[in-house]
Amino acid sequence: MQMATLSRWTLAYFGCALTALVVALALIGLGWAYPQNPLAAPSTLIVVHLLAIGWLSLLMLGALMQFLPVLVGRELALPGLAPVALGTILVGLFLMLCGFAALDGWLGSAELLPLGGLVVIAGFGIAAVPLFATLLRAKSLPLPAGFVTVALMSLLVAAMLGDTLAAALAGLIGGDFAVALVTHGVTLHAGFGLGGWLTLAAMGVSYRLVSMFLISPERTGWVPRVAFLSAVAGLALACAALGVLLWLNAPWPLGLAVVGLAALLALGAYLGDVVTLYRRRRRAQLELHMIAAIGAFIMLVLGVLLLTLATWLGWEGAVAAAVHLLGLGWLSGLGLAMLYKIIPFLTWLECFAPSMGRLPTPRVQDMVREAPARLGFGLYFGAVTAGAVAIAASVPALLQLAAVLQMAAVLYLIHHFYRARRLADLPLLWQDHPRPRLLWPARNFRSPT
Amino acid sequence: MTDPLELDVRPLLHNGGEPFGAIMGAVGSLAPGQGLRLYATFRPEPLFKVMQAKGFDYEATPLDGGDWQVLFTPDGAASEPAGSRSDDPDNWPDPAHYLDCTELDPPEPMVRILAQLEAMAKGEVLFALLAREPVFLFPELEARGHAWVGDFDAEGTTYRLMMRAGSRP
Repeated sequence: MQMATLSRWTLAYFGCALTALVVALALIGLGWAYPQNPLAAPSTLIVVHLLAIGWLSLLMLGALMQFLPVLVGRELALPGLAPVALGTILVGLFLMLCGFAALDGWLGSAELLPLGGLVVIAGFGIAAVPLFATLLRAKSLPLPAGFVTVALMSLLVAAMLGDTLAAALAGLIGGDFAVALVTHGVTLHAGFGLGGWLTLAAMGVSYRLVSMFLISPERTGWVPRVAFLSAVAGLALACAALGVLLWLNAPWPLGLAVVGLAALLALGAYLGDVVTLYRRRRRAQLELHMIAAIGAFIMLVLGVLLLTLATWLGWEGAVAAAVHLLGLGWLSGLGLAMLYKIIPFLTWLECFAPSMGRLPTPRVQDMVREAPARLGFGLYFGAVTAGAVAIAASVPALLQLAAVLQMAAVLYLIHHFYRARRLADLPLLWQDHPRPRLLWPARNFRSPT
Repeated sequence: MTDPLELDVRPLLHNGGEPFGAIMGAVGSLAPGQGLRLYATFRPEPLFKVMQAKGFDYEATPLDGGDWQVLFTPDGAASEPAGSRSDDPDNWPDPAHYLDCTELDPPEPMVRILAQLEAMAKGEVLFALLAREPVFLFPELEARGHAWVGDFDAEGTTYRLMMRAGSRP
């Protein structure tokens, strides 16, 4: 039986994720991050993990709970684990952030860091169970689901490596191993997290969503296969590099260089596919979420070019700026753009699925007002770019201003998500339609038939 | 092997008639393994997809004067399609309605299909073409008591879906 139903906890994931994003941007606005503080300073790490775990990972997991069943045409397995995973990850993240604060001499003990890390790993593990079980139920794995599978494995590697790092930082493990890990392991941790987990999952989901929203034939043939195979090869080599680091306490620069080349090849093929999807679309008019997604793809190109250049030149500021472009421009921008469509779509399904064909139903487009929201996306991508320039040029005041503007843009977009959820923009005919609950699990919305 | 059944819908088309019912009637009367030779005044593209869904390959040949001859032969190797449980599509009547939803963005195909099913009598069959597998439609079909069977065409680009209207709730 191939079907997909509404994932009851997806909106709660989205709500927590957006909260973490706003808090992280507020902290950058207050001057908590690089370049005011060093890259490895506890305050920078608090901001980075709020973004990577609180915002991006929760966003991606919430989206996967909803869309993995769509990718493989099977119902989500063990859906009851979704809220358990969410709660566990939130508790673990809170403990982790306390642990970082303790490193800085604040309250608590630094041992909270690896403890929090363990709880986060447990949360990711619990979230991975229904997702992997759903993948195993699939008769065949379409390419987008292949990306998601590899991304989930990478998530678990990133989390375990991160916890080992946390143990070293907290002083629980010492010696040459800890020194080598803290010196050379951070790059791999970030690579598995930002690249393997978040970017591969975003690529997989977007392959399907972009073709669905543009009514464009799905990508087949050698280009998407090159994207997939070189991504897998790159990750395998990164695992080998991690193995070398654990074994010899030494980095493996040649291996890492090849990982970089494989990643470039994968991203190049992916971007080629995205351009083809846009070109072959049957929809003449682009909706706002697909225009905003172009902003995210441009950020991906800029971020990758800058990262390549900065790594080549060994320019730390530019590496940080590139990570800023990739994390806040590409992944966050794509996430916000897709939320602008996904939230109204899920709300539409929840409210109007039972009356389809029996009563007049609004279009999904009737639930949003694109003209004002367009300003929000414009401000968002403008502020991200300004923030990257500020980081590269080491002008902290400009980064703080950019972060405040970016936070304003996010709050404005959240306002639009809220309006869609409250059915606030629907035409008069549906003004009296019962409102769904904002974040909590959808009631059994189907009419008894 | 039996000779293919011959059906000439050109006179019907010249008189402004709609040949779909006649063609489906002829398909319904075919013996197992028997093919259908169809004559028409144009290349009947939409019919190809309908017939593929029913497990027929086709071979279209242009004739003099702009007419076409199409030979439909049972492919015998139709992949097992996915569908609702405990229902045997082989015993369904031929489709009485046809919807092409390939150019519509979600959730419009669902809305059109369910609206059409609401307007149909119990037991009538609707055939629809979609750009992708309508995974959100299936729970709705099930909740409303409709039966369905569907699969992708050979190229994997179009999803073919046959639905039999259930009892009106």
